[in-house]
Formats: sequence, structure tokens, C-alpha cells
Amino acid sequence: MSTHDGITDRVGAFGREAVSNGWTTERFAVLGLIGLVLLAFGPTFQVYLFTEFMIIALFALAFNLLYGYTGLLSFGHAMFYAGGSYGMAIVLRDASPYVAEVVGSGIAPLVTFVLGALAGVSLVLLIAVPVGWLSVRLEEIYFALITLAFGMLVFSVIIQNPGGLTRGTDGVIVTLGITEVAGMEFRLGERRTYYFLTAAIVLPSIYAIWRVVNSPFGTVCKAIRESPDRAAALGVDVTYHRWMTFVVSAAFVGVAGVLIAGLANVASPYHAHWTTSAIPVVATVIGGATFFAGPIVGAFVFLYVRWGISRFPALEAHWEFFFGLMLIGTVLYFKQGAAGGLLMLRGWLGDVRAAYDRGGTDAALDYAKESTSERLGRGDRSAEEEGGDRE
Amino acid sequence: MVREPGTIRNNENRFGDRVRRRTVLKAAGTGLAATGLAGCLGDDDDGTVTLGAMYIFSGFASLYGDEAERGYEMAVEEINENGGIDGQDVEIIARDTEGDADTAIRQMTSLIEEDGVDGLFGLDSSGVAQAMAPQVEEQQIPLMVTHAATPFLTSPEGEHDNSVGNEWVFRNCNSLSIDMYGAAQVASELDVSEWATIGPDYAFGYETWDYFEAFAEGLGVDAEFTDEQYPALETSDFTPYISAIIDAEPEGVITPLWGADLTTFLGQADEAGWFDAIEYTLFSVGMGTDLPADGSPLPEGQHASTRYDPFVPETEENETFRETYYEEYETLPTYNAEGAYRAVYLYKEAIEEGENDPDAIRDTFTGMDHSGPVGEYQFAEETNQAVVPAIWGTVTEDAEWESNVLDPVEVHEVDADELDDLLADSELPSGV
Repeated sequence: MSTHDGITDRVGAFGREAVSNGWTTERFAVLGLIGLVLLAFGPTFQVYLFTEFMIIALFALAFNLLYGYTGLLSFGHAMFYAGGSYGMAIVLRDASPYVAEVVGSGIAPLVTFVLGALAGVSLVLLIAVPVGWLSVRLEEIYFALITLAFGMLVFSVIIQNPGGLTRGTDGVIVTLGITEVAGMEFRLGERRTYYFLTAAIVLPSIYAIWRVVNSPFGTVCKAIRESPDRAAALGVDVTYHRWMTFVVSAAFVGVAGVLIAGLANVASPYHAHWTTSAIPVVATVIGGATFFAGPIVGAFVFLYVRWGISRFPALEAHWEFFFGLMLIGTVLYFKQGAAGGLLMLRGWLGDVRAAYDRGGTDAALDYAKESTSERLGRGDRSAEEEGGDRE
Repeated sequence: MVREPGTIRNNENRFGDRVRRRTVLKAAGTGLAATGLAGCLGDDDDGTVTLGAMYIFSGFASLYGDEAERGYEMAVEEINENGGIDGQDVEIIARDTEGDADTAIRQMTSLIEEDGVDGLFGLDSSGVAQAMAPQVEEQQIPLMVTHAATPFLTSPEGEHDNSVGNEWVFRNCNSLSIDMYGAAQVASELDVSEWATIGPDYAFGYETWDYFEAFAEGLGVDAEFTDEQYPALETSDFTPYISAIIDAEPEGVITPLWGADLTTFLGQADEAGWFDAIEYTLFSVGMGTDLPADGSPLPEGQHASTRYDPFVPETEENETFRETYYEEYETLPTYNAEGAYRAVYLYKEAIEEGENDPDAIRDTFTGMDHSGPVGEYQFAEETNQAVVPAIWGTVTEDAEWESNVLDPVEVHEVDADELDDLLADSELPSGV
């Protein structure tokens, strides 16, 4: 009974925090969840885009565990993305009839999906353990290169279609069938169902990564990032710890890979290509590697800016140009990324408000003008200063 | 081809069409809930026919998208100047697939759900096209493929493990199997006892070789099929592959290399003495690369194929298309340009014959007779593949057009049953 009471108490406390105590974390969480549910009833394409955003966000966040928190830039994380998607796709293609025989055809698609997800993540672990073991011996550019090499190795293997498993460049088509449980029928691949499924997997995964980052394990990661030598002097087995971080990071990327296979309905060799490895790198650079939410913000900007461009035929025709401009702007003026930019904006708005409190509208405008011109004039220098806390 | 100004006979029930179309979209399993959201579905209201064009517009193969764009823009201009489609202007919304299935599917979903397009056409990559086929079936929207060539795309689902064909996917250009039927015809007339291949290292390269061999055997070509070399896409050094083939001493080689790879290969092959050592080289995508490339890279006297030849058939329709195109862009039209051009006209004809509704368009496309620059042809009812001929010829420089052309050129008419018979001993579907 005591646990039961404990949970009730905690829910009650959470509810009070959310409703009556001002703008608490709890209130943000509740509003966020309501927003997520409401979005599901928005335009169908937005549901699709947001589902893809959640997947890319998880991909980038898991990547940043290794990059932003441990200081290792992997350029081959696409191999785990593909590991997840192919594990899933191959199980769905080849195991469905056997699963249907064992559990009955009604619930089979759901069971196969779960098995496929497990297979995908297991496959990723199977690759990540040896690849990580070999890779973490290196640092910096050498680490980036060896992961790039392993990534392209996986890509080549997929293209070779070993044993007819991967179907070469065509990829494996994923069909999520109709599940029937207790008289209820639903299609896992239906847009909104898949959206909720993705949210139900991505949100706990993000929370899990948050816990990892804020655990002693995560603290050691940061120590290694700041100075591997000092961490070693404190008794940390740096290589082993990096290896474990590599594996954890890969596993979460695998989860994202499983989800993308279901969303795009195909496990494509491009999931393993280095250009896919670049996605979390770019998202993290845009969003800001030093913030936990940086990769999430980055993934959002990455996907929605690309979508925004595609809405205008004149821009779509030269989308790479505009996308490139955005990247250059981010790197030059927001070295800490969009997340850092948002925090800066908040700080700046605070300052403007303080000026307003002191001397009214004129003072606020003067401050705004002055600080803006100052900021634009010395863009390079300030970027250097901001980036100074890392790297 | 129907070129007369469109009538307005459908005007009075246009509104009815629109409502039905939205109902269909909603029923398409996209899970659209509130009817109030129908407004998000796009811009049917301004009285235009909207088509979504999906090609590779960026990166290594962007040439294909650029060529297609020339074709469909020309068609749009012509149609809108001549009364549009049933009195409505046609508008094309182009999206970059980036040659990647994830992006292509996102773009397609946006075209259907945000722009409310009435139909889709395009696709260069066979891999992307195969991933797309089940998606358009789910969305219940017609897709006219104008370039991607794999026979599995029009081979009905279930015929072969890899078949993905369904009632919503059509192809208006010739496929790899038709092209290889022509190649085998060429092979049957050549005195070659040993064939080899050098192709790009992906499905297209392997399928070319498989179908070439199967058709040649079906036609009773008395030759051996020996060495296969598959350099990766974007290879810069072909010499090891070239030496391997030259060492194997085949008399004939078929190569589906394309784009920059073909140009690089040709330079290096020439230096290695390829054209002295090997009597016949068959370039299956040759003309698609040759026409838009500077300096006509294909060597004279070699065999090459095309999915559309600017000089065949000698109809007024083809001549007008060729002349207009040349005037506008100062090159001869490639098959990708012609395919995209014809796709827009196919939609025009289908919409004018029936109505602007996905089901109606699909039904009209099925088994449709059509005529365009490529000639008169019909869509096979079982597969939705346009039954167009295989075109093979000898590469010849033409001073008048300042370009390579196929001369003499041979047109191999195709019969679906014959293709199936020829492939009977192999496991391969003809997709026609």
C-alpha cells in the first residue's frame, strides 16, 4: 500500500506544481504533453513532419552524448541508424509468417514490430561493441575518420546485398500490417498511431539520456571531455568509459533507426551513408552541442527550415544555397548554436526590460540599438569568447 | 496528341469533383479528422490543375532533374498558351528527392497533403521509385514514372519477390527490360562469342547484366557471358576494371555506366586502348549522358541506346517537339526531357477524357492509347508499363546539330507476350 500512496502523493504534488505554483518545470511538461496530443489532430503532413523531427532529434541527441558530453566527434553514426532500420525491416519481412503462426495473425503485426525493434537494437549493440572498442583508442580527427570508415564499411556491406538480406541499393520495404486485438483493429503505420508510438518511444528515450547525462556516469563523461589526462589521473579508465558511452549512444541511435524504418516504410542504404552521419552533426552544430536540448532544437531547425524552403518553389530550386547560408550564419554568429542563441535572446530581452524599467521606452530603444550594432560589429570576437568555454 | 484548346465541358461539375477528390484523400488512410482541415489540402480552389514533379535536382545526378525540368516547363507553357487543361491552367510544383527515399517520401507527402496536387510524376532512382510505389497506393494518387527503369516497378506485386507494381504506378518511358531486349537483338546480329559487362555497383548495373543475358539466351544468341565488373558510383579511377575486362578478352561489352562516371570511364578506356582491344561496346544509357555533355563523349561507331530518339519516329509531332526544344535550349532533347514533357500531356489527356479525380485519372491511364514525340504507344493493362520500342543505333557525329546522334538507328518493336516468352527460362519478370 505504501508504494501506492507514494505514487498518489507524487502525482498530487506534480499536479499542484503544474497548476498552482507558477511557471514550473511541471507546468511546462503538462503543457508540452497537451501540445503533443493536440498536434496529432493538426494537418496530416505536420503530423508526419513532427514524427520525423522526433526521430531526428533522438538521433542527434544520442550522437551528442558522445560528442558534446564526451568530446568524441563520430562521423559514422549512420551505421547504427541503418542497423536499427535494417534489423527492423528484415525481421518484418522474413519473420512475419512465423510470428503469425505462434501468436495468431491478429496481434502478429504488433508483435513482429516489437521483435523487429528488439532485433534492430540488438544488431546495433552487436556492431557497436567491437567498433566502439576499436575506435575509442583514437581521439579527435582520427576518431572521426575511423568511425567514418566503419560507417562506409557498413554502407558497402548493405550495397553488396549479402545473402539476399539487404536487397542492395533498393533497400528493404517495410509494411506495418493491421493489428487486431480484442476486437479492435488498428494499423500501426497509420499516421497518427505512428506519431503516438514514436512519441511514446522518443520521450522516454530523451528522459533516459537526460538521466544518463546527469548521473555520475555523465559527470565522468564531462570530466573526460574537459581533460582526459586529468580524468585519468583521478582514476577514471578513460578508454573503457568512452567505449561504454559509445555503446549507449549507438543503442539510442538504433532506436531512432528502428523508428525511421517504420515512418519512411523503407530501410534504405542511405540510412548508412556518410551523408546521414552528417545529419546529427549538422543538427548539433545548429542547435548547440553544449546544451542538453541543443540537438533537439537543431533537429527542429534542420527539418523545419528545409520544409519551409520546400514550400517556396523559388527557394526549393536552390535549397542548398539557402540552407548553406543558414549554416554559415549559425557558425559565425551563434557559436553555441540556436539553443545558445535562444538563451542569449532571453538574456538580452531581460536587459532591454531592465532598461525600460529604468528609463522607459526611450532607454529601452537606445539600449536595443546600441547592443545590436555592437554585437553585429564585433561578431567574430564575441563568438570566440563564447566558444571559449569548450574546445 | 490532343493539342486543341481545352473545352470547358467540365466546368459545371468542377465543384463536385473537388469535393469528391477531398473525400478520397481523407479516406486514403491519412487519418485526416476534422473536415475543417480540408482547407489545408491545397489550392484546388484557384482553378488550376496542380501536378507534383519529383526529380533529383541536387548533387551528383542533378543533371537528370535539370533535363526533366526543361521538358515539363515546355509542356506547361504550350498547354497554358493553348487553353490549359479543360480551361484550367496547369501548374507544376517541383521537389528535390535528393535521390534518397526518406526525403522523397517526405516531399511526396507534402505535395499530396499540403499542396493538394492532382497527380505525381518523375523519379530518377529505381530504389526511390520502388520505395515510393506502396506509398502512392496508400495515398491513392497516380504516379507517372518518367525515368526510373527497373522492371520490378511495373511487375505486379507478388509476381517476383522484388515486384512492387500496383494500379497507381505507371511508367511512360521504356524500362530496363525493354532496353535489354533491344540490346539482345543487337547482340544477335553481331559476331561475338564472349560478352562482358562493366556497370555501376548497384541494382541498375546488376539488373542490366541479368536481363541482357536472359534475353540473349532467349533469342538463342550463341555466346558466353563471362566477366562482370562493378565499379562504385562516382569512381575516379576505372583503370583496374578496364584492365580486368581487357585481360578477359571479350569481343563485346555492354555498359550501363552513366553521367560523370561514363565520361570518366570513356577517357580512361580510350587511353588504355579499349576500343582497339574490344570490338563492340554497347552503351545502354549512353545517349542520355552524351547529349547534355559538352564535347559528345561517346566515340563514333559504337552502339548505344536511348529511350527516346529526337529523329524517330519521323512524325510532325516529334519534329515540332525537337525543333521547339532546340530553339529554346540549343541542344537536342534527351529522353528524360521528353519523358517529363509527355507526362504533363498524359495528365492533360486523362483529365480531359475523364475528370480531375485520382480514381478517374488512374482508370484513364490504365490501358490508355497515347501519342507523343516518342510515337504512338499503349499502356499495358497488366503492368501499367508503356509499350514503347527499344531504340538502338550507331553513334555518329552530326554536323548539322553539332552533336552525336544515332545513325543508322534501329527501332525494335516490343510485344509483351514475346518478352515474357524470352524470359521464361529465367526467373525475371518482364514488367511489361
